[in-house]
Amino acid sequence: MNKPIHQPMTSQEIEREWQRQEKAEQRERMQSGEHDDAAIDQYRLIHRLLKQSDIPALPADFAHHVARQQLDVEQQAQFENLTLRVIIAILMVGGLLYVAPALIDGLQKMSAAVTLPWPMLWATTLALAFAGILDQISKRYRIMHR
Amino acid sequence: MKDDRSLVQAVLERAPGAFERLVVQHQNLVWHMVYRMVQQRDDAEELSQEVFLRVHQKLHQFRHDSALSTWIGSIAFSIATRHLQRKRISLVDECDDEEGSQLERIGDDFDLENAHADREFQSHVAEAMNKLSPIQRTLVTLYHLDEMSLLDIARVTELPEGTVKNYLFRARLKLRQALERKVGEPA
Repeated sequence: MNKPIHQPMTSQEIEREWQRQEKAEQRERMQSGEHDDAAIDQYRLIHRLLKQSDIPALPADFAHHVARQQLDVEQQAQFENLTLRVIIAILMVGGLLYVAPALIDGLQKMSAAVTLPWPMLWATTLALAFAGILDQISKRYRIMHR
Repeated sequence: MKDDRSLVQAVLERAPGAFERLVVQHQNLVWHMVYRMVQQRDDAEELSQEVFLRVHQKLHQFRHDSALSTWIGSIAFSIATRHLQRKRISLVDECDDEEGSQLERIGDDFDLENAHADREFQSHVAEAMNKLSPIQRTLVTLYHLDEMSLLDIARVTELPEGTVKNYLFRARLKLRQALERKVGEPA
């Protein structure tokens, strides 16, 4: 039987070999009965053998399993998001409670100076601005992890 | 393409069962690619799951400028490639890229009809497939098993079409050389 001839192929030979490979592919797809070239026949056999794949089959419930896994991931992300919001809210309230006395005292002094009618107005404005900033951070976090 | 659109829309609108349908439609392509690249069943199964979770996560970014299967294939390819990189497994053999030097002529005497009867050829070619580089195994599988065009394979792998052609050519030639060696063995 033939053995590989240990010489590099020329570019014309490479092109001719490619044409044989492609012709074999076409003949297999068309289920042609032509046999005029042994090399083409070999490529046809390779094509057939590759079609009878040795790749093991996926588990039958793969798609169902993946879909369920995706739901779990989504629910977990929702839970994490909710948890993050709760933590932010707790931190905000705790922070406000902690700084409130000093803040009110400072605002009272300031209001005395600028004669604002209601010193809590400043505190409310600051708290709202703080909440807005935290909300933006939370949204960006969600977009990054989507 | 029209079917792709309606399926993508259904998944994005969270229609019941739509994502599972998408997985069913594309699981073979993903599985063939990933398995051929990593060659380990457990890893391949885990990575295939990861591919579909990524598909779901990024589906809103799909612009329909290619077939959905091509887009999903490219995600599968990049995830499997990253896995191989983490394991320090090279995607290509050094000789895959050498111009002409490794290509040897093969004799042309072969009897197709007789060869058909021999089931041993199957395991011989499978063995030869395992010796190919991950990229060659994948390209051969996409072209022959999944019947993808060279252009689609180029899109999936983000390789130039000429490079895909070159890898595919060399892979098939190596398989033919392996087959030739089998034919040359005494019965």
